Amino acid sequence: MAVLLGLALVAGTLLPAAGGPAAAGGVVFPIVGDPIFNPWHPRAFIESIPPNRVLFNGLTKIGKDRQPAPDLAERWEISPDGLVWTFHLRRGVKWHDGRDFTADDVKFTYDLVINPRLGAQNAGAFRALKEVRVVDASTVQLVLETPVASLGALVATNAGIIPRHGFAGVSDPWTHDAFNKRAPVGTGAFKIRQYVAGSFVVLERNPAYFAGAPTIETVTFKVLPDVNAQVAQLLAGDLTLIFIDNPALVRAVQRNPNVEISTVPEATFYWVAPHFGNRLFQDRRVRQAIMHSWDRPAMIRGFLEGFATPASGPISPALGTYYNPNVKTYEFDRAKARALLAEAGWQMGPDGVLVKDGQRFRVTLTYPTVQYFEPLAALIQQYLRAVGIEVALDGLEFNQFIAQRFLPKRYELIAGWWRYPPDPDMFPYLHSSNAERGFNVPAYRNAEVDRWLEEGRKATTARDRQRAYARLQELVAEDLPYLYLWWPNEIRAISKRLKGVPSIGLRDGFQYMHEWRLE
Amino acid sequence: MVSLAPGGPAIMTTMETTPEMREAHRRRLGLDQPLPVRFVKWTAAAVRADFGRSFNDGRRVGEVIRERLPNTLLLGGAALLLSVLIGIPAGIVSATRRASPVDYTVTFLSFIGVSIPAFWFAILLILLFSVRLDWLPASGMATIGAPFSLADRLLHLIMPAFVLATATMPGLVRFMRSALLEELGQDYVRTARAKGLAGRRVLTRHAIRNALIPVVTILGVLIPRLVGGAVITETIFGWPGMGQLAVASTVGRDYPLVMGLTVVVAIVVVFSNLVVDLAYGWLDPRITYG
Amino acid sequence: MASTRFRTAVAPPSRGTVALVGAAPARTLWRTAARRLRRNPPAMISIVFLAAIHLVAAVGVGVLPHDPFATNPLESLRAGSLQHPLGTDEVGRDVLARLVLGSRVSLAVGFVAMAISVLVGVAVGAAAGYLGRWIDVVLMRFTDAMMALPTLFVVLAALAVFGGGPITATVVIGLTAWMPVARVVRGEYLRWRVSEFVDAARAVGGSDLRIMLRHILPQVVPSIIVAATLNIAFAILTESAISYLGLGIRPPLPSWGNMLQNAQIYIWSAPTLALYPGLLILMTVLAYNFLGDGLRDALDPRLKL
Repeated sequence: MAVLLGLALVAGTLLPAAGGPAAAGGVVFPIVGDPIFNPWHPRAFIESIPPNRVLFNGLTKIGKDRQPAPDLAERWEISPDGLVWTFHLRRGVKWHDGRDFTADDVKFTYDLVINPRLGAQNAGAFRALKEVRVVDASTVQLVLETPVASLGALVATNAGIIPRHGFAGVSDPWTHDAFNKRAPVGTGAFKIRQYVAGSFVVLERNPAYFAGAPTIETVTFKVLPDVNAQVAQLLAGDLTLIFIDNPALVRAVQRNPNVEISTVPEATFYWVAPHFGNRLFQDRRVRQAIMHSWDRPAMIRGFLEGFATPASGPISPALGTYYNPNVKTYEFDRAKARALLAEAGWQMGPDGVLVKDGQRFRVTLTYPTVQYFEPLAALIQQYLRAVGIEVALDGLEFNQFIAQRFLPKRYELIAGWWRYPPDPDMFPYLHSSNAERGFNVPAYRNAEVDRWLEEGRKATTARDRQRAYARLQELVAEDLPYLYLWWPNEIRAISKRLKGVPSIGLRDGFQYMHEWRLE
Repeated sequence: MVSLAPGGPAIMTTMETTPEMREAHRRRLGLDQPLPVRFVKWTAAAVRADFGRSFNDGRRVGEVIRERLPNTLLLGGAALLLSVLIGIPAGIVSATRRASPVDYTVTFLSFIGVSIPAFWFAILLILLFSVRLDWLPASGMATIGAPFSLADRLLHLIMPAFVLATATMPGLVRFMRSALLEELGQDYVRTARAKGLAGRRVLTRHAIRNALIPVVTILGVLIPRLVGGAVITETIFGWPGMGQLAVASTVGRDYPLVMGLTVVVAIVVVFSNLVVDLAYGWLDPRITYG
Repeated sequence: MASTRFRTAVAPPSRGTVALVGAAPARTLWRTAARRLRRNPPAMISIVFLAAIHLVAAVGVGVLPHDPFATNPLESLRAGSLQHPLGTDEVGRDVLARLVLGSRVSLAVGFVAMAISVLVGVAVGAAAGYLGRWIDVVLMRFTDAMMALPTLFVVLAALAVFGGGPITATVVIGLTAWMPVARVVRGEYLRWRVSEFVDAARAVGGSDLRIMLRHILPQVVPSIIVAATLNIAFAILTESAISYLGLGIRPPLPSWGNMLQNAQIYIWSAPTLALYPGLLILMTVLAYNFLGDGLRDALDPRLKL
């Protein structure tokens, strides 16, 4: 063994060092698995989003002001009843194979999305979409069953248009590997050059890109699931930029002079949700007591390295004018928590656990073992224990978490997060119509909350929407359908050679890659 | 078989999935059929080397594995070569200088080799050679974008092959050592020595050659160990082989892929054992296959 | 510790001349073995180390001042200090306290998995070796086939089916480690089946099961002990690997393997978090391997590998 170590040392000094030159010509970004080059593929998850954001365009994209901005559609208008959205498409857009992009491609794409037999990724966002009408080659209408004021943001987010001719004669679009796994055809700033499964995808610049030819030669997505490997390669210069999901890694990168850490507020909130079917949580004072029982500033400071803000509700300050700062907030105050619990009839038992009518206050906290949820659960367990609530932990690998707990709504307390398009529409997460099935995790039913959610969707002016969501935020801060943890910051570490990355969510920022520059 | 797992893969999806979509997936993947039906179908197809489609990306399992198999063979082959090139000389030195400091060192190192957790060892190596010294790439098979070059491939191969070899090298060292010790105790060696043949010649001519023959058999035990070790090694070093695929498909509950991998791995192991057996027969004429 | 376990295991059969034939040489065997073992420094050091670590695992949790589960986010990732000799982890828990509890968990998994592998291995090996004929052929082909399968692939497939968790993990590890035991035990049963004292036992009308358990088994104990010692090493190592992959022992209950997994992301900011559990695994597994090797030399010089 010692001999081999010696050999390795010799080889290491004799042979040229790896890395370096590869990154010189382009941008290299890590992805966590083999991508599928089709944003609607049921198996296209987080690993596929980055390449698909560069290969394909949506009708709109998220603007640098976080409002929907033109992309394949130059402009759009909404009928007075809010049910028909007419998109006027940009003319002269070409697919990577040189064919013309037309309204038929939009219809093909959204017909696929609303086909219930196909179960397209993200189809849930378009449940109100009834029909797609081609008016002429450059005009298309999306017809809704109920008004959805957020549609402009929905068609911007992971909603790339795919070419009809790329799927001609294909019966099942999801097994069409020639497109999905090998040679995708998009309209985006970069087109596919080479894909090696398990290793990397190289995209090259599309000189004919309608919004302007990119200056970067290539963008490479490297399959690199291990976050430590990502950090090591960023530090070695083999990667140009990475996301930092766990703030613990920030320290590793901070000291490097060639890398810059930047953060942007995210349209995301982390939560612990009670199941309202469980009598333990039906008393609002109990929910409020829990909000008082944990020290979120301390957790953010000591555990998240400061990269988050305690949340007062679902709508994050990243949404600008839709965010309402004047709502009830909950500071860390164990005395207050205990008082609220006592008011709700809970008495401290001999073993330090609360008791009411002979029942001990014991709950199970379910969480996925991704990101930092494992240590977070341990923290919550200790905080709740300190006010007399005994917590058992139930951490599951993500797929099992979804399959066995999340979807069947089988939990007492559950931890998770919602990342939504930069739009205040919280209908999926709070409306009673989603309580049985769907994303209303707490199975929360409140007629007044429902009312303002519907008002927000119907509103046609920004002022009306603002008013509806301001009221909504007051209500849910008081009543606590979710127990809010924090609004995280998106942390990205970017090589100082790379310029022009906009200060919006990085995934949305990928759609500006034609403006990125390498120095 | 593997579909017994609760839930099933149809729901392996993001938080955005709706129940209707879930049902649509189950139907598409054939998961709405009863388990025995699925198993019979799978077996019937597997006999024709058709393992179905991966739940993950819908590609044929055979195709997915075919992409990964050569990479694992390369890594495993390199590790085996390292084990042999280092393990056998180490075993010989250890046996011929029995109870010397060299023997103790070799023995101690081989014990360390079997006892060290591979993932921890890998992390230490990465910290040293990639992070501190920046001599070796921390992961992958090649520098992305650079044209293929042998030097580049070898650089990427060094650390994973070495970590993987620690799973097999110690066994080889110990076996070689004891086989040679036994051989040196044989009458013919003592006779040859008594007749005045130089010790070194006896050693090289006869004893080592005879001791090597049983060592071939241990390769049959080492090969499954190599393949098993590849699970950890490939995961840490981002080596796109079957071990990494096995972890990914287990975590993702990609049953067709898990099943296909298990079958292919078993075939690889059986085949290499066959080769070992044949080699043994060729080396030792006393063995015949009837 | 190991030697006291032997004595109870091979207490001489209580009555009849037949039993004495087998029991008498056993006593001298143990004495010789103990003498040989004492002359083997690595094995002796290992015994001392293992005794210490088992003692710490057994009583340490109650003795230490810190609760291994108590968190404090404002005291996270601290270096070693008087208050926390080995520092704190990412949520401010005392690393030493967690290592001690983790030792208990990892060693327990190692022991139980070893026990499972020995039970299965002895049953299969004894049946194959003693009963012989087609039973032997079938059982040994099965053993060979299991042996040819790469352990981690089998473990992963099993965990994909049954899900992770401490009990599944322990059982699965035990069920992937019985094959070497079975082989050794079979060889011994083949040898003893034709011995005089077994013939004598048959002559006085002992049933097959009685002969297998009461008469031959005590003779086989030395080999079993050697295999068991090596299997503990294997089980501890495997547990750490699958916990490292996130499929074994689940936090907040610590095990050496999951502490390492946990530590990996902090390798830049707090590298010692990964150092301690790794060292403990290495030293414990090393000690068991040295001990197993020493026992083999001491008990049965014929055995190899």
